[in-house]
Amino acid sequence: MISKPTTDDLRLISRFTGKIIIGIGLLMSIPLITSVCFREWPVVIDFIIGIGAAMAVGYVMVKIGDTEKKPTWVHGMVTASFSWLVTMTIAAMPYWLSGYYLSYLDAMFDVMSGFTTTGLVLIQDLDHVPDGINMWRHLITFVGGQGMIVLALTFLVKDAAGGYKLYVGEGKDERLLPSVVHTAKIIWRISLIYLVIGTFCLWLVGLLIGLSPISSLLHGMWVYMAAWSTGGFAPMTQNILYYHSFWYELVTVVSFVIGSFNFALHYVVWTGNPGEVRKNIETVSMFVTMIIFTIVGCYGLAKLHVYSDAVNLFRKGFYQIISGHTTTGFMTIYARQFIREWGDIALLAIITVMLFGGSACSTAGGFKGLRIGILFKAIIYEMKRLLSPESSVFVQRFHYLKEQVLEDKQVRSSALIVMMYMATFLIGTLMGNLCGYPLTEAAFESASVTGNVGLSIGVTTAAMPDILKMTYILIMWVGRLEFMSVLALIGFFLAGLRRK
Amino acid sequence: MMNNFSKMMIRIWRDTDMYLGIAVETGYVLVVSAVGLIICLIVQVLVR
Repeated sequence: MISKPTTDDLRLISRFTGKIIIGIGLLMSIPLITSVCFREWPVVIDFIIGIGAAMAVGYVMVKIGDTEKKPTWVHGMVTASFSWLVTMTIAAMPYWLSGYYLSYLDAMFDVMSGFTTTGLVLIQDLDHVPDGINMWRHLITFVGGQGMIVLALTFLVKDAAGGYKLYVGEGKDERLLPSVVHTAKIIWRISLIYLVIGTFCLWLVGLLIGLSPISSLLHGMWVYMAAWSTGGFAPMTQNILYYHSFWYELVTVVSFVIGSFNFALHYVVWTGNPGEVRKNIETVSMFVTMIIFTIVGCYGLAKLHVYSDAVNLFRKGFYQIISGHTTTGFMTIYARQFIREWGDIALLAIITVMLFGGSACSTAGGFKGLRIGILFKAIIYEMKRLLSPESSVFVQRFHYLKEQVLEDKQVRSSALIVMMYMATFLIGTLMGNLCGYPLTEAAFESASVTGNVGLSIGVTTAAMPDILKMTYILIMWVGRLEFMSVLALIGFFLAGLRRK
Repeated sequence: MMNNFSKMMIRIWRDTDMYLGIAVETGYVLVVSAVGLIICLIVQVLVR
């Protein structure tokens, strides 16, 4: 049981949260500079107000949080989940001031969608949004992919012991190097290097398809930010369909699949062990589930003669399935085509892969390939045990960065997280249904928010009920943080209500 | 800022097999995509 919080506990949480908010305020300087470059003066004012608010709130929280107390796991977990809610509120300010949102709730929805790398949007008139706002949208999703805590650890938090607790609280548990601060820096280095390479590739493709050099650069950078962080935001309403380019689609597929890899896998492969990609339980699991559900999905589409040839089936069917599987949410079709053309079999395939998701300790959401692999290994283990003499002793192994023996606690932990994801998915579906949406549409959108995917069947619009917007915000948040730190926050809050 | 980024690139290039890593990861995705395309071809032919 969590003990009743003391003033020092609250101060400690306030200090770390304040630093993260200051980090978000500093981050707003990038879209501010973008707006100045493109002479979008009203947007410049919006960002100055946003930066001012973030700095003021952050500074006050840091000042309040002056304490000698050392952080524990509870502090790390509570700060991680609490800071996401506070930063959502602050980061929504420039959005709302820009006038492209119908309400502050819509602006907060888009911020949470960005930070959790979901990619669902409620923004109005996206095709004419100023460059500064577009920069902020994609920067939010890029930072969210790496994690706000990772950002804070890289630049603001020097307390290594407390930093690790925050880092784990954000749903990441791989320490690539002994120091968590160095781990955070490695994560940023890998991401920035891929950002430069990916932006360059998309810039070239953009030029080839007729975009102007500046437009091609901005679109390339924004789309790559969203692809790498498996976010799914794009600068145009039609998403990736806008570009009508096979090469654009191919570069984005490469980007978001690599983005869905575990950061530990990147590090191991980059430090001289390329064979890990072939052996790792997550890449193997993803490869197998991708094949199975591509077959199922493509069968469903081919049976209904939705696409006339195999190349179209690949560019529409496979693209949507792998975009859903990696929890990216890039689309090369219109949202309503899912319900009007795709049919039940293909929809079932895509709902399933959206829940499966990418890799642990990556930018992706969902159950994660690691847990699917562990549960599959556990099933194999149980089958072997049941079919063998009682005296037999088995050891089930799996390869995850190194050879490991499957333990009960790993199976229990994986099963628990998968069960919580499924419960969240069912709650989202029920809420959608209660708000008047048909079961298939409610289930599709719920899978999309639970897995932080961003594919939409058309439910997510500014016209949907506020209660559903709030439900989706909460689901995106708990799904991204993988429940534990949110449960810690709830426990912390309830403990605060106790009399003793 | 660009100077810092260049230093970072040089450090990563010196300390890791960056190009090999990128090539291996890209290769994995291209294999996945090729398998996806083959599945699409087979399914399209079989269902027709």
